[in-house]
Amino acid sequence: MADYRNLSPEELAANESFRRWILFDSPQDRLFWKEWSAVNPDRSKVIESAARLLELTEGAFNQIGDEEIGHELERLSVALESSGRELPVRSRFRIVKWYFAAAATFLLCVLGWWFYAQPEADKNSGSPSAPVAHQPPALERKINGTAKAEVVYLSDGSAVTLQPGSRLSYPSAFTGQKREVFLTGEAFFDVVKKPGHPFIVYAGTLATKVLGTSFRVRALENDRQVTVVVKTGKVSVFPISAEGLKNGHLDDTGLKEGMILTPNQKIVYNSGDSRLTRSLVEIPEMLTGTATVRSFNFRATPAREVFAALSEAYGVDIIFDQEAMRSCYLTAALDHEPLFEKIDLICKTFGAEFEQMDGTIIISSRGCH
Amino acid sequence: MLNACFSSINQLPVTDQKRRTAGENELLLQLWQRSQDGDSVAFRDLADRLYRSMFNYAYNFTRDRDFIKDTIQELLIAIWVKRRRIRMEFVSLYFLRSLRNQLIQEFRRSGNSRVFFDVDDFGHLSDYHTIEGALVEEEILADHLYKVRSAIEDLPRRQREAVFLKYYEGVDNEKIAEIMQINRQSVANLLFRALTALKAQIV
Repeated sequence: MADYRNLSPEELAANESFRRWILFDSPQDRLFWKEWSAVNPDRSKVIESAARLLELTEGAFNQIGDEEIGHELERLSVALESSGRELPVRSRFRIVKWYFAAAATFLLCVLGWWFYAQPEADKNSGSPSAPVAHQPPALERKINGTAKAEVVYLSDGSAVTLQPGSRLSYPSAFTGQKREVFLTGEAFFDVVKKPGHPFIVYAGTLATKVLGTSFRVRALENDRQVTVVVKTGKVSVFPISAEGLKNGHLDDTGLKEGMILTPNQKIVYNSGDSRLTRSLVEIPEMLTGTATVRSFNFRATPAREVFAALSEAYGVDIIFDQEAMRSCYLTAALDHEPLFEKIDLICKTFGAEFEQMDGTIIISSRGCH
Repeated sequence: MLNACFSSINQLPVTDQKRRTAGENELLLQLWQRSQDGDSVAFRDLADRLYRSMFNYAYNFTRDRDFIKDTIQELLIAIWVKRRRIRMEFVSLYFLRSLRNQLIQEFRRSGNSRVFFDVDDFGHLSDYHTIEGALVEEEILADHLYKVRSAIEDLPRRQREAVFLKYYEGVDNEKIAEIMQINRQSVANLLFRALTALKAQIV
């Protein structure tokens, strides 16, 4: 212990235990240094200087925020899933970027030779007059040239509501194991459940795989973003690799894994930076098909039960510190507000804050008294 | 649904996001061992814990954020792919040293290697030179932070790197020497010069 008396501030700032106290507030080290300060009051200036040196370097060297790190980790997750191929990230992402401009056209080219004849015409068309005549026998191509949404029925009974100016390519009859369709624009899919026959929507550089559900895909032609919103059921979403696009092998490009979306979540895929961002929709709806209509009339209800009720009704994960919120109770009637208003009111009552991250709601609270 | 989210509370830095995760080597080693066995969730967790340090370390070499991010992605994937053949004792040091090498390679490839080899003309100062009261106490923290930040920005690159490793990462001089591939005396010299400069600009 005598040793520490001779330390200068910068030596102290390099000491492991001292660092644990200042930077991570570790209880053991805090106790030790508090006691040590009490015994060595003449060293208080050294302690202060050392602590300040640490806090300042901590602040001065930090150049990146949590959100930015989050994005990079998502990018890593996507890359890890396809790492078996051992492609260098840099070039791979560049390829994806480069291909995107041609992606919509390219996807369709993969399907049929007829494109070859007039690629320019198609590339610039959201136009309803694009050729429908040259159809290969197996594939239908629907272009909505009207001003209203149109419903397309597929051979399996699934319904696709196609927005104006959007187009859909699909087989006149689904024969293989997979049900695959290709979208440019925006459509709402109501998919008939068929175990063993996954339904896959290719849009831009993103593929969405479902097993019977309803969801919306938006991949506008000149937009680098593809958006998928889930209404019911579950879908998994994954970027299509550059090789997949290039070779036309769309069937085996990492379809097994992807980011899972549940109701009231949406995903935005930005092909510019190859980033999948998951969040909640602006106004989450209560899940349909829940047997009873829930009441949100809470009377001295523990926080845990309040969040459980909301979580179940909206199918949204709510993360909070159960320990910290143990003494939080809510009395409120919250039957009419949208989800985020409910959460906001609850947080105000509890003196807590909430944020949305990766499709879940995170509550930060220091507890109630 | 709630059960699933409770179990993830420990992994989410909900309450204290600004602070770096206390990177206790033992915990990191456990994550690394699980990664070696092919657990990609553990590897992602490991990457999460080390990311901030890696990014901030790389920032001492270049201000090109996208370049840094791409380099880190490449490194992480390379480590993942080769995980079975890699042995490490101090996890964060291994990642920082690898990142440094990766940066050097990338700089060489792009013909931009000058940044790396800026020479500090250090003489031979004693290991025991120290600076008493490097920082004045009266001013408010924010003002300090601004001054220290710009003072640190102004340091020669290698001095900045040494200060980063010493005070941001808490690495001892011997290991700093190992990472920077210089001798221990040079580390002491770099730190002494850096702290002298910081003191001059802050007081």
